[in-house]
Amino acid sequence: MKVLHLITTLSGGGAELHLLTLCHRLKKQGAEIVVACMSEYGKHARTLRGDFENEGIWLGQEDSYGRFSE
Amino acid sequence: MKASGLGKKIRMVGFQNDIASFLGALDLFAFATKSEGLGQVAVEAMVVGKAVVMTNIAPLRGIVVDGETGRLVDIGSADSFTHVIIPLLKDPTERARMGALGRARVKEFFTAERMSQETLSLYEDVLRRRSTLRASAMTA
Repeated sequence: MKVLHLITTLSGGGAELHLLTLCHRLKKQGAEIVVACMSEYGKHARTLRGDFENEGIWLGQEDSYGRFSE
Repeated sequence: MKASGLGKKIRMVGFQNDIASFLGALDLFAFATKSEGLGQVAVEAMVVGKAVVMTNIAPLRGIVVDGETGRLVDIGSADSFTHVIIPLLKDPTERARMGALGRARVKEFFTAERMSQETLSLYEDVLRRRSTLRASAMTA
């Protein structure tokens, strides 16, 4: 199963931590996961980019043209 | 805060990494949010056995059982929070009762394992339905 998760930011808030936990567990079940965010930073102090990357999850970010890339 | 004279009573602690220890050191967890997607912080406070006081909004209503695992109060009302928090701060037995019930509720309904399993089941169900629809369209 291939799953794309779209989330607003990668900042260390509840939704982002929730997604990190979900991705970790879905990967263990054999799912292929891609996470795309609108921007890396939100209202919280730190980004979870490193945490997603440590899980081996491909991260894409929207650029100013509305395209997603690493 | 300084203008209201609360400067010495409120500490702004900033971002916390060790959430369990931080929440575990509290007597009570109060969350005066106006909107949440889920309110994961409510689950985090409950799993360390804390009584919680939160605004009565949709996602938190599904997490907190009012009067059992915590209290739900009117949104935007400082008075409502005050009327609930002060008696609870004076009643450690009630806080412990709510905290224990809250922890049990989280362990039953809000574990990462259950969340991921149910999410995966939902994805699989959606894919099955799509396959069925495609097969129906091809035979129509």
